[in-house]
Amino acid sequence: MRILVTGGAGFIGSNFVRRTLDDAYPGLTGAHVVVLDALTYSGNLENLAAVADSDRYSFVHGDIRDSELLDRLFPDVDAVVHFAAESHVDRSVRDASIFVETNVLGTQKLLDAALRNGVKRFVHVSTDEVYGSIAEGSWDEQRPLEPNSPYSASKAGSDLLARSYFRTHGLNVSITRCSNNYGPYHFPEKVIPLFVTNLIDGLHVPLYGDGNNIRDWLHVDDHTRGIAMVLVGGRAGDIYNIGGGTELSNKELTQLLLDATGTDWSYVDRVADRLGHDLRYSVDISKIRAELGYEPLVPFATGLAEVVQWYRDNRAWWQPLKDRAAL
Amino acid sequence: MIGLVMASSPARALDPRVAVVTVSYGSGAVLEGFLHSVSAASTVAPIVIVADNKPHDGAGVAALAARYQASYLPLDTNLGYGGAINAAAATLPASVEWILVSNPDVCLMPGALDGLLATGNSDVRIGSVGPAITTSDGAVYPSARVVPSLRTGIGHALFANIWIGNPWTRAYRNDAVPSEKSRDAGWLSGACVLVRRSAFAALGGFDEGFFMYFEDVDLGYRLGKLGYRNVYDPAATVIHSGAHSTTGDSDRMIEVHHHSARRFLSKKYSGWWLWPVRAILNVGLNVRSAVVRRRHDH
Repeated sequence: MRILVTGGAGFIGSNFVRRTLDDAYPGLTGAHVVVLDALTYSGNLENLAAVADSDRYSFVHGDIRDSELLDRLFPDVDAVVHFAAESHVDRSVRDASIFVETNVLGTQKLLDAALRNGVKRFVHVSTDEVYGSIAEGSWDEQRPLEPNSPYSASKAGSDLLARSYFRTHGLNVSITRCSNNYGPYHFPEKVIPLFVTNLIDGLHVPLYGDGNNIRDWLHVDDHTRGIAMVLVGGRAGDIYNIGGGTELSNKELTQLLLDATGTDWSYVDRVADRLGHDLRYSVDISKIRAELGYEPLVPFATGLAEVVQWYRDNRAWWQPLKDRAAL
Repeated sequence: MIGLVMASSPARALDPRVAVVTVSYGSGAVLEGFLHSVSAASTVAPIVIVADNKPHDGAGVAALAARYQASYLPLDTNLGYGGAINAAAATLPASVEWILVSNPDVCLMPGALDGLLATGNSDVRIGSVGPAITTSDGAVYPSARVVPSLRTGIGHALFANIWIGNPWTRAYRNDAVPSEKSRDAGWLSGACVLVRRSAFAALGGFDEGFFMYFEDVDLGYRLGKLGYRNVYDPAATVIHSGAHSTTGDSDRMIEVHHHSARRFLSKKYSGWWLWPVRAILNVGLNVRSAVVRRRHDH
């Protein structure tokens, strides 16, 4: 099998690439991977250094909106796993245009190219944020979409496009919706790596509002394993939630990070809440559990401790990224 | 951990983002020229480290390093070129973004390091930048080459010394492209090359399985395969006076050269189904090594 992975140099995409080439996923053993990545600010080739020697890996620098490029690549591709997206909510609040261009228009270009070139399988990777905020209980896949940020609205648009290509054209596409990811190689503008890298350097961290916003945390290894399961066994036109099973308020998460770095609340600056900040996300993973046998395997305490240690050990990876992004 | 100090006159500010690393193997006679040239190659002062693969030969390398305010790193055993560079790179602070890897018998022309840095910083996809490398008599050395394929590699190996201008060597050396033209290359000569530190670190530095030769081919190949660009920038120039530290040991160097070629090709053609290719290359390289040694002995 030859898999084209868009956004394969990013945090989640590179994890999927590394583990696929490590033959970690049943059904994808021996697969070849072509990474297509525009290497915008968060794409980083160093995330893929571990597989650079693999004769099953190749890299193409390019934009998912470049239809001519897609038509050159897709004839040799059996499956597409589409990670490429603008994903930082704060950036979407400041300027939504690139989110619409990449997430909506880019997905449409990919879906069209897949259709034109007869790609047999397409997995569109999305987010639980498309559901909006939920006060109690958990969303299942039938929940109507009520995105509240420009980022989540753009992802909801791309989800609906993907679904429409199944309904209209019969494209073999499945959609995954994950909760908040964490793990190594996470770009240091996101809350966990930002807090960890700041705190181990004795710098302050910003906590939005009252810190009571609740997120479900999913280790990136669990997430990409779920995606691989959907790629191999998911049904065309279906949506699969992927969650980690650890719900924490931002305040609770901050306490864990302060503990892990040996710091205290004097390092936390309360800042004005994010515009449109959803109070709680929570996904019901009954479907993927029942149909594909998915379970989150990485306990949050273990995963978080490993992540903190990873950032302690890999300053050479994150320091240039923070400097470049002026974080 | 060795101390890191400024390698320049006090007029230039230390730039902790840039390091220069060189390797001595009885290189006292040429090292001073190199260290002196570093101070004129940039408007800022880089961190400079001299790794010494032969620290007990009385070449005065430590004293020279001290005179130029470079850090001196004596190595207990001869780690080879790549190994010594890796050992030095491991001591660099996290602030370093670019490492100029250079032989000590190189002389950087004024502004060369600034030029390489400007090119490297122009694109996050650039993993390495190489200058124009000239010999002492002004001839341009083909330092920006394509990664050898089976066809060009075999043709070059067989005919480079007996058929000047053979098409395989010309293709391998990129001879069709004017040497004064900036371009992307498959790999850049490790005699003097600026490497993005984060990419270098992510790849684990030079493959220390190459004692000498081909470690630069391998690094360029791995950078390129990962997705980075190797860019030749002839606006920056250095003079390379030659392989001074190996001239007295040619038979062994021929053997090492062929061993490294074998290792690189085995890595590049690593799939299990390519074992016949590896076997044929192995036989060919053994024969070539014997022939070259015999010619050298005569």
